[in-house]
Amino acid sequence: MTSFALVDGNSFYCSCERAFDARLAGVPVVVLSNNDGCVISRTAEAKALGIAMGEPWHIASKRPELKGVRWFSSNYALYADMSRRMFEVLCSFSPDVEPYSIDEMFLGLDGLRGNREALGAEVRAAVLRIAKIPTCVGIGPTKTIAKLANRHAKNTPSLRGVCDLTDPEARRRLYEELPVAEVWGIGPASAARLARHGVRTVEDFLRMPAALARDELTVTGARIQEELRGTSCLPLSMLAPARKGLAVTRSFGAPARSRETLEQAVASFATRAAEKLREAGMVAGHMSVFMRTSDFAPGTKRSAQASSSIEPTSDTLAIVSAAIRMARRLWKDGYAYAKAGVMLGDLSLAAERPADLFPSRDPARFTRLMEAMDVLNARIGRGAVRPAAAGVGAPWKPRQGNLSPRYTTDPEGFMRVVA
Amino acid sequence: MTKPYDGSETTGFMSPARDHADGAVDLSEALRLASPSRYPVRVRGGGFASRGILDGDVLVVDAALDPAPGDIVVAVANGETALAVAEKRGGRLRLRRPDRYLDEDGSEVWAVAVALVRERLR
Repeated sequence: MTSFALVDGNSFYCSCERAFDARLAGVPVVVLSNNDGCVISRTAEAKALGIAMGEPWHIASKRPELKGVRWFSSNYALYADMSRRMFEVLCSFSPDVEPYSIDEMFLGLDGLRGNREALGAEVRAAVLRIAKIPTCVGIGPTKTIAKLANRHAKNTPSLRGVCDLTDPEARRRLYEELPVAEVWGIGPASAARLARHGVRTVEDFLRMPAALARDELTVTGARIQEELRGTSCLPLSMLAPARKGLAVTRSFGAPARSRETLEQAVASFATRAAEKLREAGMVAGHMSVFMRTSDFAPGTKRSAQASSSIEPTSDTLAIVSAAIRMARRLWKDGYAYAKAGVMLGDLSLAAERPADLFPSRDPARFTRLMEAMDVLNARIGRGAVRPAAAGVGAPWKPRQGNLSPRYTTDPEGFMRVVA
Repeated sequence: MTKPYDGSETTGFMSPARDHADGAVDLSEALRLASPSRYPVRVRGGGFASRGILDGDVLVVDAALDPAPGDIVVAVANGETALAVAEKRGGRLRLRRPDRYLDEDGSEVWAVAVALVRERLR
């Protein structure tokens, strides 16, 4: 029988911070979104203090009872490296690992011998010891059940982080109690639709005729029913779905009032977008650029966006100059712009494209230049080589008031040990 | 980027070594820094000078290894991350700092030191 485990990092970003700072053990920790805006990760201690996910930190931090909370700006370079470590530890258990997100990974258990629950505990101990991330492990015959088991393990400390719902009897007991909204793929809107049919628990949902489930939740509804019954409909996928579009957008640390500042921001977003495009081996045939003022700050509001087709490319210089041309057209004096972005669309694999009959650039020369740029940026650090248009200083750079060191990837930031 | 010189494009005589060039040694590979269990850490303080570990050194530590007697380990105790020596005492492994033994409760091994990198020789 098919069997899956879902390994999910507990408060992943906070756990990455804790891995390298022993003073954070047992104290409430939160990690904030870009620009130090909202809470995007919190430890159990922070949750117990009533800190909600998504809570704006500039408001929450004023509450006197939250004085002892340690907060951090998001350190994605660190989180990416710790996610890689977690993934690689899992790969030592099974060749079938699906990285579902930065902190959740499905593990195919087919062909692994031994007691599943003991295996779950072993996986959990290895990830904690080697990748320094505490996790919960949910096990089941389908991905949907594994996900549910994982959630149950998180909410039930007596399970010590591992829950196996392979046994239909164990599932039946849980389904009687569990609200249907806890199921993977059933969001608040779907739960509200189901509630109109008197469906509250997972058991209620499974009693619903498949045709009705399909009517209410499209074909997904019937598939979720099958998965909850133990019939696997969602296989592991080791490949990310092909990207349809790609965006680099940011809120600014300080509002941009001059055209020059905004153009530098747009150029630097375009540079990063082109880099992501090349990482995926793709070219873009469409581009949008937008800029807008803050919804909250006082002053007149403005939101402007331009889109157009471009000659399919992944060339940083071509993408940057097209983005700047658009930004220039959109620019109007007298506003304090708070956010801008570059979106690339109409993506296709570079290798699958027919050669252009009349390309406007020498393709071989451009490829070598971009390769050289990517190599240098990988070696020296992102942004070491960039188009002059992206500027030198960066007043629009996001606010990162309390960024931890890049402990594992920057020699200046390595964890300190007292000798 | 220019191609690294490997002797394959000499103007006079073709290099007899051209098919055997290895390229520059990759220390990151030699020290297996890409392994999920290996972490670089920075030494602060001179308490391990007698073991040849100086202030400012980088140690490569491995979190997958079981500490054996005599190993130098990174230990976590009381909110501090410090170097210690693993020693066998009374049949059990104890962690010794230069000035004292760490309490068995409340201390744990974070990783075992496997290599040392010193950027400036003094």
